[in-house]
Amino acid sequence: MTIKGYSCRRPLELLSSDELEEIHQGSLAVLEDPGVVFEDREALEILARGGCRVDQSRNLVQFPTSLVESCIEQSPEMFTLRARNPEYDLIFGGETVYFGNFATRDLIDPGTGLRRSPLINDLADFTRLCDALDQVHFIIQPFAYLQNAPARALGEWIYATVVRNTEKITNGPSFFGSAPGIVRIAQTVGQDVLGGICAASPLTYPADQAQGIIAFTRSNNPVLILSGPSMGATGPATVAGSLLLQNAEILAGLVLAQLVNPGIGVIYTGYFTPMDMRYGTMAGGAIEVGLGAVATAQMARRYRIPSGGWFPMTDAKIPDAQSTYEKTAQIMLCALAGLNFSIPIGGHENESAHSLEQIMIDHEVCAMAGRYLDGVRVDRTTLAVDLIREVGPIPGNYLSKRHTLKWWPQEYLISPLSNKEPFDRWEKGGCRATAEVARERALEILCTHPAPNLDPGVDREIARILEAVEKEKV
Amino acid sequence: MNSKLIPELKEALLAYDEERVRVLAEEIAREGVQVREAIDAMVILIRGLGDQFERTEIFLPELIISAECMKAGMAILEKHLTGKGEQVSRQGTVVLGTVRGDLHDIGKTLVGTMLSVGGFAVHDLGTDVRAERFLEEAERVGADIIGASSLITTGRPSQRELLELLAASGQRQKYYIIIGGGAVTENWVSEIGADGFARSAGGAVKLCQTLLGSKFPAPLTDPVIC
Repeated sequence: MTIKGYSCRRPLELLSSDELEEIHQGSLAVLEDPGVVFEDREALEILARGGCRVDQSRNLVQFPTSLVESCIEQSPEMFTLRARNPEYDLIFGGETVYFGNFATRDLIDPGTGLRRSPLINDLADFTRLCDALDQVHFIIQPFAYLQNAPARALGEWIYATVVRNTEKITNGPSFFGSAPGIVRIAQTVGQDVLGGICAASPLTYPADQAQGIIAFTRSNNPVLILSGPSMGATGPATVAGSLLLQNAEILAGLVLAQLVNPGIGVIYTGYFTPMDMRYGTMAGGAIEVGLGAVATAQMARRYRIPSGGWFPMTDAKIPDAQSTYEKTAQIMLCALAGLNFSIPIGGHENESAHSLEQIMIDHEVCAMAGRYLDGVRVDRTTLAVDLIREVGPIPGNYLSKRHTLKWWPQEYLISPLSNKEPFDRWEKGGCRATAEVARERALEILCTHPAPNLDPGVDREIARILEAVEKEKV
Repeated sequence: MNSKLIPELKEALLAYDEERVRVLAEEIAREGVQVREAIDAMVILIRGLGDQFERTEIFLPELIISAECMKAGMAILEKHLTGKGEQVSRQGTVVLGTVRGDLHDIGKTLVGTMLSVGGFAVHDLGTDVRAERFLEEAERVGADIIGASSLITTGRPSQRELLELLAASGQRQKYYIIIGGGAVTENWVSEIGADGFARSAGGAVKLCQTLLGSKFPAPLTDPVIC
């Protein structure tokens, strides 16, 4: 299987160029005063050497505008991530649109229907499922926690388990200084790793995230830098204000990345969500996240760097109508906005839990969004003037035409999941609901789709690195 | 004695006017006769707001802003009482913090605010707090409860570390341990052997009240979930 991503030739726009400029200028003002906290000595030294004003007593970094702008300029407009199987290489940036899966804390157990913590085997299974699905162009670690992995080596165990179960591009999380170990595993396997970095809003980079930027970019691996202010809680209650804060935070991380390794790839990744003030919950499925998706893509395009979104999400607790309409609205907006990177596939209640059903449902919606992006082919053959003349009025029809034979499966998305049967056939089949069918499909894939081959020597070397990391971290 | 002061104080609280709450609290303290009545009036008012929040009649910003107004007024009135050598009664003492490796502050601070307006003495250690630090502070202030928050899953090991450190130092029975935050599930509470977990800041107040009203000392065999 090769990766078929999409292209967005005419991206949707939400903000005018003047409005983008105001967000940019406001962010520069915030980066200068108060600045951003980096809770890591080495990051502070690098930023000070690069020309920032650093208050060591408060770990506070103030960024001169000229430095921010030159670092944006240095960030490449597009870059390639190399997979160990070249068929899975991805080029991020420009018009490309790729989808990945979401990362969660728990899973809804396919057997019991109850939520529980994931084990290493669950991570392997969910990775294999994503490996088999053609709308999953790259894989984000499906789980951000493993109950039976050594706690201090969690990031390394997650990464190792994912690469043992897919050849697709994957990310490396920055947990407890996991970046160096992950880079060693990636080098052993022979692939690039997309370093995952997350600022803590407002205006803070925790130590492991700052160290992650340094370790990934120093070893020549690109990073996706995400910032997720929560409107009204860790960011202003306004969409514009949270976009501005998000922008300032991403740019601060981008400057560090460019100072460590000028020209290294950065994916500008939005993640802001409203807080629902009735409950104090993060409303990941809110339509405002969709506004954020379009604005994030526009901001990144203005900077001529690849764009990303740590969404779409849903607040629904189970696969149901809410999970589907919330995800669909956001998936369509991500696709129409031409966001280069988004992670629509799977996930309930923000980052709380995966279900097999939701993975298959979102996969279907991504295929639909992708079909839209593939657009309408307009040429002599597809316009079919000669054919229309030939068929003429009723009783003429197109069913028996070779043109139909050739074109219907190319022009029509044959849905992998949705039921298009006539009623009686659906009734005879047991009147099954979509979620039930989705679950069965996923289980079929898990029974039949093998993990990719991994050289036994490489596998042993991964085990050795994991052991070494555990010892180093005791 | 100005009999309008307490109604005015309540009005100022409901208008989220912190400055006015301070001015009125100062005035009540200066007169010195209605201090306890004023405290009671605020406590009843804020409990009512808490109930309204549970019924989604008011929202988080209203609740937090009124709680902060109340804290400001309360500090002035309590200072007056302790200045006169009178006791300020407390439901209990709670040491709170976000665990090592996590900088997320908001949920934990919200719990602290709700606990303090709920009548608890709260010592908030901030974020990225080491297990040893929780214990030092609990010892120093004579805490009844230690609350350890973590939003991110990578903070979980630090919550476990706190329980392990308590057990290893023979202090587990001294405090009820409650945990909270986005990383916490009911399973996790049982897995590490904490005494309780609440899904919301309002729930945390009920949790602490339940624990301190419990006949059983720490550690509990079955955690309390609110």
